[in-house]
Amino acid sequence: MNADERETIVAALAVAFGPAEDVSPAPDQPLHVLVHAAELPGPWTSPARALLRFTDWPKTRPEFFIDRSVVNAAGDPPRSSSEQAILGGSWRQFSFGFPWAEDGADPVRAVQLWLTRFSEPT
Amino acid sequence: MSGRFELRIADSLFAELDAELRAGPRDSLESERAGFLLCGVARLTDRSALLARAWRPIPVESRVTEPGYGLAWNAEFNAVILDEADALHAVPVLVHRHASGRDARLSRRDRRMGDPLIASMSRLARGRLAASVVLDDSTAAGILWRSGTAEAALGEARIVGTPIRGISPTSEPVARSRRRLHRQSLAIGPASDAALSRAKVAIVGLSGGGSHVVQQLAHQGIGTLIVIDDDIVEEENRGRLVGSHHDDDGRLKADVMERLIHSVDPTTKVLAVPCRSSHPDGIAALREADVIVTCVDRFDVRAEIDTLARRNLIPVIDIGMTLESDGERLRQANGQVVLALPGAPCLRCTPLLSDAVLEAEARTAPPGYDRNPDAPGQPQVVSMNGLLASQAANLVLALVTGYLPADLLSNGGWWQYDAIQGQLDFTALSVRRPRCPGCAEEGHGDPWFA
Repeated sequence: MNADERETIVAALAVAFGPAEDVSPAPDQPLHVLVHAAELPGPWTSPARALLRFTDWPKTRPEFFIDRSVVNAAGDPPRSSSEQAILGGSWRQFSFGFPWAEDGADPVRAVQLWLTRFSEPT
Repeated sequence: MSGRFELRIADSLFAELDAELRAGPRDSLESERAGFLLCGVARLTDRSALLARAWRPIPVESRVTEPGYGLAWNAEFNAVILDEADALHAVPVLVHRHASGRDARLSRRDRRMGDPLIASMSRLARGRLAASVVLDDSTAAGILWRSGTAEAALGEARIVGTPIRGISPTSEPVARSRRRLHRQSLAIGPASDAALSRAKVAIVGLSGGGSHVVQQLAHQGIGTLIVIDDDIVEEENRGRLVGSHHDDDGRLKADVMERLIHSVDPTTKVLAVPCRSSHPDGIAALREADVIVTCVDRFDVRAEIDTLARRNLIPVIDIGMTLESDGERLRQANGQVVLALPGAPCLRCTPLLSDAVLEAEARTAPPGYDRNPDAPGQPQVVSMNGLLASQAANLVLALVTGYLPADLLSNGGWWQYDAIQGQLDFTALSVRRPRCPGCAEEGHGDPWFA
């Protein structure tokens, strides 16, 4: 992914979800984008920081990590989630399947699909 | 200015810096050399650590003549440094050297010229840091500035290699002599005791390998042991959990290790961390360590710890054992101990944590798989784990006391163990992987966007 593609993705995410920035560890590493305040539906803690890692874009969807503070009404994190140490901090990853096609891959659509996970209350 | 800060630098980068500073004047216009380190920052419990990422000596073309000063340079070079520091989210640290033979200190002339420069660099943005450090043959001094105010004095410059060397503001040696370590001191030198008592070692994973490592490090006299595991003792663990008692089922492994350590020496400081290494408490505990020993099953957890260690310029020693059995007879029993040093190949540069290994694990056992109570446990034999653990404990000893020749492990190493043959073979690690994702985070410290 070249610098222009990286900038385009970050800009698109910022338009859709508010402030977003490239937090990649180096220009030759997979793009990491921090979305500062992603809106989640109730009962989940919102807004929340989300981190995306584009390891094999667009062939595979970006990995999605949510801030550890995100819990539901019972104070629980999403089920089937695990903590991951990324970029020096602790983030929560969860399992969630959705169809993905390389053709027409869209980073905004990818985040929207990830966020549909939070339509479940647990 | 009551605070203390640490300057931490990988041995290979320090060698580059030291060679430049010791090279002497290039002509009659200068009497000393200097340059800037660009550093990440880790905010630890009792200090900030500046983690060296890059060294930028002051080039001859940037030099200007300033009567009364051994070296002066133009403002354009300062702008270049600030620009690069911004791009890297790094702290500029001016470093120069005195050859006075006395304890290092920033001279009145250093401060007259350096303070306004470093203070102004730190004033350019709110909360911004900048520092100035002077080195001598065996001592170091320095000041850390934040937003135009002197905030902390240098407590230690730490050069991370084999051994890990600490250079403090004074050259007075700290002696320590524990009778129980008398025979060890006879083997590796009288200074080893004090070095071991100052050391902090973290062990992640407290089962067949990790519990062995903990026990040996407690006997060796490590001053602070950080033991990290969220698991509890179960009956089937007790066949390989060194220090476990028959009635420990249900107890946290971290608590069992604390008891084991204190049964050897009640004065050893223990930080028992009953959570995963990816939990904020686990990350915070790992950042405090001088050395990290990983004794975990999962490759992705190794990769996370390796990268976290690399961010904080902490050496990692990894052990792992794989047994293959047909159910009655052991067919293969292979293990490895890997030493990864900052400034040298990391674990992700080695076949242990290749992309293919991580992808295969993600397919067959995704994160969280090990929490499944039905997941089959891998075959293990405590005595085979023990051999790897002993080698890991030897390497901790080498890093802390320097009992091995300094150049033997300068690039790290891989010890391959064949438990069928009873053979342990050493190979020095060779080259860093291009665009390595682990090495890419070297010296980054805390996340800059936090």
